[in-house]
Amino acid sequence: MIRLQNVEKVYRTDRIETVALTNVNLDVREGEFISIMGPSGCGKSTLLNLMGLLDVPSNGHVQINGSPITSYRDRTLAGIRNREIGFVFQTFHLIADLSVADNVEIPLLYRRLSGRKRREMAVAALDRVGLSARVHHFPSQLSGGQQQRVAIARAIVGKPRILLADEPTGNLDSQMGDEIMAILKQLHEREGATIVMVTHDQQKAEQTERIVRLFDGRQVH
Amino acid sequence: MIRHWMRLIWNRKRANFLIMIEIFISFLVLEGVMLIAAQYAYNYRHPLGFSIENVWTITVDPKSHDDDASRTRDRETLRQLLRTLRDMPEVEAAAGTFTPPYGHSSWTSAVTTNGRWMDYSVNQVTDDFRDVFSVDLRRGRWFSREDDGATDQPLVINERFARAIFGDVDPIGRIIPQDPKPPSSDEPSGKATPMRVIGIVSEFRQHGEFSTLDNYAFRRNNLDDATSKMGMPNRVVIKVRPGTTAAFEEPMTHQLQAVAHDWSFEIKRVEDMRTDTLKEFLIPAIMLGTIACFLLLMVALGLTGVVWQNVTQRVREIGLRRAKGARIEDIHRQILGELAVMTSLALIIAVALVAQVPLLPLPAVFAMINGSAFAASIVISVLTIYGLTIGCGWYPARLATRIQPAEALHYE
Amino acid sequence: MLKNYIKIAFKVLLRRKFFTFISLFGISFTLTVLMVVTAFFDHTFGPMAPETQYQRTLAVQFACMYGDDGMWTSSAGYKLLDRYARGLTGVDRLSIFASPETVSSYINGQKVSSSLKRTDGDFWNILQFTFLEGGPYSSQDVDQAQFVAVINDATRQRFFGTSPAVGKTIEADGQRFRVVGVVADVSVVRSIPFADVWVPLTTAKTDTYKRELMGSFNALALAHDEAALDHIHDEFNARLAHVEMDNPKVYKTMVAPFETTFDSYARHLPNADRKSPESQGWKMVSTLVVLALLFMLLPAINLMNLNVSRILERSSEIGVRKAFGASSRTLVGQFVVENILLTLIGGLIGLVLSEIALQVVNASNLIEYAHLHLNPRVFLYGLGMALIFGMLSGVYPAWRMSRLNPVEALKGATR
Repeated sequence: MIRLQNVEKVYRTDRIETVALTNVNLDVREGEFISIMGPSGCGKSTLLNLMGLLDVPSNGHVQINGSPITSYRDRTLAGIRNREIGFVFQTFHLIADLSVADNVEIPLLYRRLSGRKRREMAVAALDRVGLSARVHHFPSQLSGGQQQRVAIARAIVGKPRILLADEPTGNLDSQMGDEIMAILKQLHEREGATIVMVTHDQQKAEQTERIVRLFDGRQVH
Repeated sequence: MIRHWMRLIWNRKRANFLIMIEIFISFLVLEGVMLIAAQYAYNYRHPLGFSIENVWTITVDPKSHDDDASRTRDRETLRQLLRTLRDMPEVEAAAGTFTPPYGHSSWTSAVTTNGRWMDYSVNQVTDDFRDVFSVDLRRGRWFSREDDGATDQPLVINERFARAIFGDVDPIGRIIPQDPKPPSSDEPSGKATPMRVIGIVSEFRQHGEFSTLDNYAFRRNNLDDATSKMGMPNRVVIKVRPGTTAAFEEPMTHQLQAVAHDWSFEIKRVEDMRTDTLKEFLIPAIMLGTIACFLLLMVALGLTGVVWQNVTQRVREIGLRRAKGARIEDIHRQILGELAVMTSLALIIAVALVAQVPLLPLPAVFAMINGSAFAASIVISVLTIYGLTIGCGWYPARLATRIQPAEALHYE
Repeated sequence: MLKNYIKIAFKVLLRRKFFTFISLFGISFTLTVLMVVTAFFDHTFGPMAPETQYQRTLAVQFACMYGDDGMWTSSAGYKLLDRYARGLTGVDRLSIFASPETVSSYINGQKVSSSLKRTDGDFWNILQFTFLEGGPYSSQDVDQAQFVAVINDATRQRFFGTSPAVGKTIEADGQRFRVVGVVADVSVVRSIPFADVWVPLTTAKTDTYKRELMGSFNALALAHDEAALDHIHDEFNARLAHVEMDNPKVYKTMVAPFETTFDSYARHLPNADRKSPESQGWKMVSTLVVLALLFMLLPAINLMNLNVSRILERSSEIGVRKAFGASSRTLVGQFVVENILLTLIGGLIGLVLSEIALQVVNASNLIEYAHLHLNPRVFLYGLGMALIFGMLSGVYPAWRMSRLNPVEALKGATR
């Protein structure tokens, strides 16, 4: 599903060169639920960003769903992200001015769909995360766990095959964190979603199928 | 410290560039308005060189074709009209002229002296003009019978023109040196009639208190000379006895109409013409000034908003890092310091640009700008812009520091 | 999609009310100034009674003769128009009339100044004045040199107070006229119809005017239809090429084209070529456009700065949208729409402020007899300017916002 070959990411400022990732080779098969672990600053978020086409590797190749990413033009990448990938962030990143339903609709805005169809799909996605009662609420009226569930609904509303989650339980207490893990596992088991999760919580990582460990930008085995 | 701030500005140069452009343009707008105001103020302080109290103008229109015969006949009629006016008890003095003060007409000429090209304004008048306007004659004498039959052209000029041509040398009785001109349709021989200075007036601000200070020359038009080829002055100017009211206009018009039946007469008080002229100078200036004020207010509000937003972001950063009270003061000073340096950079370039303007070979419009007025306008504009930008930064920075503890707690 | 953009735009505006206020202040001020100026231009050059047949008329209001050494610019003389402008193909009616002159009248010892215009009979057939009393004088009256006059309402009040004026006598410039009609006031800036008092040409004190090529006369031609206008313009210019000049050694060529009032005003600008019979109107238009853009520059940059300073505030949203598939181009579109919405709101406020400003100008009597108004035409121009301003000030901040790297945008928002 996702394949990284000899991927390297280097950040260059005026004077300093920072090597964030070196020689990363990774294969995520369709339907896998894997975690990426490592200490702070080891490059796990960078790796996730590369997988999600939010960033471009300095060297190496990225393949999504069998197709290599050859063109890094903004429009092309945006299109792939819209169709194939859904994101969940540690700090939720919901738009405070918009209602829950409007937030969930966001990925659908960039497809050619009618307003009615969008609303339909958004409500369906919220139902899958168990929030159909909160369609018209605003993020500020929800608890942390509920906000993250909205974020997950937003990530799955467009039925992407890949879900990328960057420390999804990092800002939640243990009970809410467990709820989120339950939803992710449900998506994985029932709908065969491919999920890559970055975490530094060993307990959560062990609930996934495979753990990839990084240290100082390199894979460790 | 300043170098530190400059480095900060350079690092965020893309964000700051647009702000500096805004300051730059604001300065140009302000300077434009200030220059006009300073120039007006400078001009206003100079004396007029004449008095318009109890002076009326009469525009005379003979409605005749422009040929030699008509001209001679019209000049004679005008001579008679002037005599009729002088006979009236209410009239103290009467003269003819082409370009009376505040009259909206102007006549300019130029002379090339010792390789220098000089523009000057001309007023062709009859002898009594001086009495009508109480023209301030300083040296020499005014036109009189002495000048009848002169082979050269007698001239009365203002101090400025005299100094421009002759320097410190006494100009009375001197001929204005003119460089030879190529032959033209006016003067096929290529020789201009020599102009001899017979008198110096201090000043003659034909267009009034706000007009530019230029070179001025009076030429003599003698209506008593029947052989003269000069045109007929189309304005008559009279000085009326103090206390003469507008009621006199009607009987005067009837008497004039009796002498020249087909002519048209239009009487105006020079004071009224002055009011109209001043309005023409002031109304556009006031409108420009009002618009400039609103533009600057808009810029002030805009900068306040930008600085406020700027400060809020950074204070949040500080708040999250749980800074102590002293650090906030540093930020406050830093914001204002950055603003001051940005303003200075923008202003240095703007002032350098503006200072070039008088050096450009642009038309006479720019010759009107006086050095001290120009300098004054720049200084005032610079100080105002500094006041504006620092003022815009001050309040938001103070405000932001006050709400900081609450922000910090919120993000805990 | 657009509805979503508008929804979020409103939310963003309401989120920071102080910022919205500052932005609206600048926008509405800018658009108010532009709309007031537009209203003024519309008042001076736009279609307005009595020039009701505006689309079918052209006028000669300018004449210039030049040679190698000199150039004389003024209006045309009667002889030039009478001899060369009559009988042009496609002209239904031709009127020759003088430019207004200021004349004095004395009423009970008080002086009254009026603008007097001498016209022929066809003047009243081409222009549709609103007669409050009586009617115009006819071509026959002009031929017989009858001393009759049409006066405007303001003149009637000055001379006769509230009483009717028709049949009474007025004196102006030493001549006596019998009033035959009273018309509604015409604004002083409408150069073709304007006057306080209209009298027949033939009542002039002398007939010297008939022999002059250059003078203070104008011609107004009513064409059969709009299509004939170009032809009239060209045919008259062709005739002018063969004018018998008075002083051919000094002035060789005559230029006095049939054109619109706008074009003849344009000839007085410093960048106009007075020696050319071709239209100079486009120079005035381009000068005005440049001035308008220059005026919009500072407010646009001000608005840009305000928008750019709020990038950080919206970085989370930008990052999320990009992550979920918005291309940079899509985001530019979104932000430009937001900005245009803001400027349209500012434009509406500007509209209200302009109307107030125009009423103030009307009350101050800055322009005699003028009643400046906003009309649908000016409103549309205002809308257009608001859109241009919105695009001008919106594109750069939109572009800056769209270029945010999504990774940094998402990181930045958490700090």
